[in-house]
Amino acid sequence: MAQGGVLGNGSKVAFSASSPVSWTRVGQLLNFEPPTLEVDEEETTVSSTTSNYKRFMPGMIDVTPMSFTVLQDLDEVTAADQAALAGYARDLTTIWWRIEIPTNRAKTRFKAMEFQGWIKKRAPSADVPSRQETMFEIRFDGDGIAEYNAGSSQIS
Amino acid sequence: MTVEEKVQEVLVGNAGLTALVPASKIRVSGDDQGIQVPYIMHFPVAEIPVETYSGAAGLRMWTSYQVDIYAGSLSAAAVIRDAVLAALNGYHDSITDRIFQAPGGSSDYNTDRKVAHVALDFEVAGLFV
Repeated sequence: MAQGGVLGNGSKVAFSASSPVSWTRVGQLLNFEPPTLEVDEEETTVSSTTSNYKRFMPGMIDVTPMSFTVLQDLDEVTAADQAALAGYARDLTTIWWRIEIPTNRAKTRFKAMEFQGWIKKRAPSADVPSRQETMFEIRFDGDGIAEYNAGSSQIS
Repeated sequence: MTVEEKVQEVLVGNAGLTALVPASKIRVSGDDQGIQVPYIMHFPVAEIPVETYSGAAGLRMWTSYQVDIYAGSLSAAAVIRDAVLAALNGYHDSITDRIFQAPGGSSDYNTDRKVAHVALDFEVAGLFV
């Protein structure tokens, strides 16, 4: 039965440089935009005496970048996850990503997606009156996005 | 430590300010009917929640923390105002990211009570409970 709407609060983002994966959660996550699938289209309209409609076939799939923003902590001692991400950004390393979005208000079941990608953008900040934030943008670099049935979290 | 306790600690710990307003007359806003000028009341006004996906962040931020100065004249209140600014503006320590003066504030004179009032606004951020 439909939930009637669930907030995005409780969503998780994690990464792993190894396979088999060992997930490292991205801490202090302020917001994130999951990757979006957008399919190219190829027109297949043929001349017809019985139809005035254009026709299209699906083309290649573009995966828009996933982005997320964290409360910035540039100290590698207190934020090893952010230090690791900074290293992957510098080294242009393709790593595994897992996002989990809660499917119930109790936050006991999550819809999970996994894919490979590299850090396209890492944007720290240091405004005088504002909290420090770092924005990351992840570019897809894999064979597909795996989606799993809703279940318990694998990110601790 | 709460944000009120921190501001109180900073204000009463400033010798230049307590020379103008005794520490006993620097208080968090409350039931203080009958207190004589000069005195200072202070209280948080507007907090910005800092929420992450895993819950509230330790950092707490207020865009407006008000300090009200009451004195016998606007000139006397202005001297106290400068001492409050010297005590608070730019303050930081191990739990206080910063306190600094925010846009806003006001001044007025109550002709019935013969009391001058100057209000200052501050932005405050830190690991407060």
